[in-house]
Amino acid sequence: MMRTPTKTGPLPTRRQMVAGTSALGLAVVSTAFTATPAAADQAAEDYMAAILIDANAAFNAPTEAERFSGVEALVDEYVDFPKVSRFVLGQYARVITDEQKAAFQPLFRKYATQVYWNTLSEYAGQRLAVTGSIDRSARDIIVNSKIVGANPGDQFADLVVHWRIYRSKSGQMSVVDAGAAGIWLAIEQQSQFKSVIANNGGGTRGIDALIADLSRKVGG
Amino acid sequence: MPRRLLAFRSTAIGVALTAATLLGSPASAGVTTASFGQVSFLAVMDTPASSASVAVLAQASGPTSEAPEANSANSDIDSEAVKDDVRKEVLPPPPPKAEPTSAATEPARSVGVTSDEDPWEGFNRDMFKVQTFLDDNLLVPAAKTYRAVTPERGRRGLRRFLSNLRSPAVFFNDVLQGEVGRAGKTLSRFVINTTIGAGGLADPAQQMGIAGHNEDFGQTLAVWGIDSGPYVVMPFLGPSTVRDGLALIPQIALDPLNYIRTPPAGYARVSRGGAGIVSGREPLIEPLQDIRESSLDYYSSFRSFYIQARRQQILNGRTDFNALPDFDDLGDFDDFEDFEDFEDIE
Repeated sequence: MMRTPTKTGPLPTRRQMVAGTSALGLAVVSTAFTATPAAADQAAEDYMAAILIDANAAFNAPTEAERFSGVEALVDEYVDFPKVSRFVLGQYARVITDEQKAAFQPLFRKYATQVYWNTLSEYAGQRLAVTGSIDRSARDIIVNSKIVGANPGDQFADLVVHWRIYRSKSGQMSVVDAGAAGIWLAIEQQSQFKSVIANNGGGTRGIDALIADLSRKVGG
Repeated sequence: MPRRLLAFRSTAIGVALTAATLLGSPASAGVTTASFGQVSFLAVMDTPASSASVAVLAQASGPTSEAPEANSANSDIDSEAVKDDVRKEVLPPPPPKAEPTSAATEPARSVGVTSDEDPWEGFNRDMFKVQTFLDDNLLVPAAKTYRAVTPERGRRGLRRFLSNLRSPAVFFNDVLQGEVGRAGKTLSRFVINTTIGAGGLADPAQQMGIAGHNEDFGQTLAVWGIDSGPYVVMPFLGPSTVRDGLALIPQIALDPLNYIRTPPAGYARVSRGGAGIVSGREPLIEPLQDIRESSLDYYSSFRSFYIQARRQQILNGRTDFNALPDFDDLGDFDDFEDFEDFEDIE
């Protein structure tokens, strides 16, 4: 602290007192706001934090093949593919046949895993930490994360990576989407898939075309 | 994704497929020149808002800036501090009615179309083909050559320089949007980077924790509540919406370099435009290539990323989680039969 060697002594002036009181008031107000965020979900945050620790371990594997299989295992374990599949098909999820469903699911799983891999491998060597969450509803939670230790000016310093967590009726949690800076992958996939279906005659015919495209894409 | 998504977050995306920068008007970046900047800067300095901006400026650049942990040399971030920081940054407002001034409560139409609302898809796809052709045959080769003959430091310097040139217009739009805090940041960045940042070639402001952002007149119109209109890919101008495309007209019209009919001004205009295109395209070579390769349909993939990113720009990064589409709408494959019960539970 800086000392003021004046004759008036350390008594604060009126202005300082007012400033001090308002600062205190502000501090109290801001504490009140930050201590009880609108709708955070600690369970979902913990769930995601544990996944991020596993992901970090997966990315520390020595070879690329091991890193990929690590990510694949995580995606298999935590991503709710039936849920995401329905979402990315949009309204066409209502008309898909059982046969098409059986063909679509594994292809989409492969495709999405590849997308997650491309996406997450950008972070290799960085550690993501959970920074907060927002409940859209009790069943639909956004968990946010940030790169730990990014210096100001770093490319990812201010980047918020989002995870969308879904809680089933039984309370089981799963990941249904991921995004960064407000841009989401499943939303983009839905846009693409609906477009492919619509531009190939729509309905089950369009879905067949989508399955064929996906199959070409993932080499399945 | 960061690289990919950042590509869209960055203002350069407008530059990526656009020839508008020849006129000095990147589709998603505020257009300006130094002289325009000074004019608007001085005009705004005369308004009462300027004292507020300066106050904010002082606050933002002081030791107690908004991101205290960002100034810490310690790489181990205090997780609570970051938590609070991020909450502030991304927390959606309480129920919309409670906070009418929040950007997140802007009418959805002004923020933007949804990512697959595209009534002019046929025309847009044709234009997108034209853009992609020009991109493949002109911009990418130029950007690759540029990369081959310049060091990364030099390229970064040019990007910063061009971005600094735009900052007066960004400031102007910040003010028009009533974003006093952001205007203060833009102003302080401009002052710091123009002086100790060697005319904008370096970015010391960023290292001080004052991150840059972009604004353009289209975003300002959005904040004023004007509908975006449909998504449109314009010949030679790249992806946009009707509103944002029309917003280019006053931007171009207000660019003084377009009125000075002397050879140096013409040269400056063309160099700025050309440099803007190539410099903007260069860091996006791989990200856009990645998106193209991993997509089933490049057009709709690009559209979705573009629209999502544009929405974020308009909301100034205040992610509006309430506006996300519901995952619950359709249940899922396994419990589709339970869809009705599901609704009851909710």
